Amino acid sequence: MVKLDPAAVGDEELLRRFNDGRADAFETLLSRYEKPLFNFILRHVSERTRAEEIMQDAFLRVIERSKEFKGESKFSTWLYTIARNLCIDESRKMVFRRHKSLDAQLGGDDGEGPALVERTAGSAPAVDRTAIARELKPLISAAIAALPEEQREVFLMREIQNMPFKDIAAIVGVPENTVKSRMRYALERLQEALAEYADYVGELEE
Amino acid sequence: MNCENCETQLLDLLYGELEATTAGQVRAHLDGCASCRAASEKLGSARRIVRQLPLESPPARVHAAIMARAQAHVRGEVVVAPPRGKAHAESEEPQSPVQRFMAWLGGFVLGPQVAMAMVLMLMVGVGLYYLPGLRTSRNVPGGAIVNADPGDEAGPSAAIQPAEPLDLRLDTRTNRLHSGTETVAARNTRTGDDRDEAQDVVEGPLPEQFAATLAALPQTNEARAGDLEAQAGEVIVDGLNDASEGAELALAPGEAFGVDRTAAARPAGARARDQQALAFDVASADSDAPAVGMQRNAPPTAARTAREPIAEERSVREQLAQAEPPPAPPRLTVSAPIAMAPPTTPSASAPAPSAPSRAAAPGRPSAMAGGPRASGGGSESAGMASGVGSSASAPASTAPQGQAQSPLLAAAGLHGVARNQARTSSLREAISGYESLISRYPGYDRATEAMLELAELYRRTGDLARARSWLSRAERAPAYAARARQQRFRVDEMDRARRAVPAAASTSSD
Repeated sequence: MVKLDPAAVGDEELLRRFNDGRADAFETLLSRYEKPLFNFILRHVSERTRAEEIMQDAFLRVIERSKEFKGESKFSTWLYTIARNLCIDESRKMVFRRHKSLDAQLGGDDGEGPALVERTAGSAPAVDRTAIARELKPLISAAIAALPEEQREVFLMREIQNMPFKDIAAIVGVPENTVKSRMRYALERLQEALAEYADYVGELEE
Repeated sequence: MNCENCETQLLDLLYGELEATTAGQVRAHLDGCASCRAASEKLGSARRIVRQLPLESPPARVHAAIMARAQAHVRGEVVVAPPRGKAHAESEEPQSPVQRFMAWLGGFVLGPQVAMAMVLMLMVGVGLYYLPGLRTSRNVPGGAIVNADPGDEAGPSAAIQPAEPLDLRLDTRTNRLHSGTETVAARNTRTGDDRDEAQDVVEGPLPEQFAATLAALPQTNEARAGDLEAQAGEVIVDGLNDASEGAELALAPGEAFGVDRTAAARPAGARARDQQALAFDVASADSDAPAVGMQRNAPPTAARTAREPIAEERSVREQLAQAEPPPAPPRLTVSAPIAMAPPTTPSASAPAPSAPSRAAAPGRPSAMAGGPRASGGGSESAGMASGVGSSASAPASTAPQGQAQSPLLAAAGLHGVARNQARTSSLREAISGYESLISRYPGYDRATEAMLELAELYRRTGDLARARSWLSRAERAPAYAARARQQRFRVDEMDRARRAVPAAASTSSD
């Protein structure tokens, strides 16, 4: 019996195997999706602990309802629909809780910190890629967090999960063209917000 | 590939969702199009920046916890429900927009913002409802909110009591309207001679219909009524001979005609009667009449500028203007009693007809305007009826030219009344009104027009023979011949239709 490479097996097939009693098939699925899904949730709820709980809830629901999955839609679509609904529920609760933002560490207590340019200009010789990447990360996080919700979720699914626009449209429940418009607006906003760091990004990519 | 197509496919190209052929076309376009290339680079730049953000890894314990649950599931163990979970999160397929909207709406049900908004809306609504200005005052065109009758002195609006007749007398030399009752009554108290007082009255009180029309004028035009009501204010009568007459007279909303109300000069009972039964009376232009000057001497400060006349009133004014050369507009007055007025002075501005004064002729019943009413008290309608009778006995055709305006005024009034009746009330009343108008005032300048209208009324009632007879009379006037012919055509048409119906009925029954 030839054992297939797990990476070559589709999500739906893995879930079917899990339903047949093979836990390792589910572990493959989990490994494929846990990181992007966690980041998707993390950018939604902006709190790590809550993101962990929501991701755990999402996969537990998949386990519970795995036998109900008929394969009429993609596994990724199903998983992200569940996760997104959990995130929406969480967002409603969070509206009144005023949790501190996950990415608010840059400015400290006194609000906004100095811009990346200001902080790197004085130590130009010591600038290296790691330092730039470390400084750039919160800026990018802030720019993503500043996106409107409907644009951000599209952007995250497309960028993090590399999900096709058609699948995103099915998850969000809007036409594919709408998804593309939101994606375009998101990219344009991010570009405008981060344009001054484009040169540093060029250095990082060299 | 044009720019529009290219733009829609830039994202697909960026994320590798285009087929190779289409991707090649888009790239070829980008090579030759600077603006599309700029747009593409902008999107690509944003993507490059964002990709610098490393993905966070979930903690291993979460992975372990999930796998533990998965293995328990495989072993067939009962999996405890997750600690958190929403029903709709379990749905496999994406929700419809309506479902998501309802879910979103449901999230606000107990939200404090919603509760606060509801409370605020309730407060504003209750506050608006209890604002007194918005509920009791009338908003006038000027924008100010005024109370038309702050002292509540006006009483019920005449606009809603059209049945009460007006008893007005118009002095063509002074261009003032006077209450006939009050004038006579006041003179009687001073002189005790009815005959002399009657000399300045050429024409008796107009028929009841005209007075009713005057009273009903505000009602025929609701906007007008509202205007009058809004304007009704308080008029101070000054310059009076009697010190006690300086009282303020409040004009009721419907009395915007400037009724001559000399309240203090007469007993309260007579005053009340005057207010209810005012007859429109027309004073003569006779300069020889001894009593004329008494009215002319009413204090000018008491004169009140006329408000914009209504249609019927305007026609009266036009005739007045023809009778009186001076262009001064008629004025509505609230005049003082004339008891102490000095003797007559002939008016320089009065027309100078050489004809003898008909009003000076003795024997005219002086009390025809106010007398029966002043003494009758409770029988207003009876008094009015007698007034009508007496005035009807004065043939206008015998009046010389100088006094011809008065019958014309009366006829015009009757005409207006009849027209109003034709519009609003029964045709029969209107017809009788027209017939009495034509028979009573053959010299009426618009008699032919009245005949045509009467013929039309007869046609509408179905009396085609009478309609024809009136039309034939009207046709004698060349100016109205064409209109009469048109109406005759309609009458003939109706006649034919009538004959056709029985004929058709008889043939069908056959």
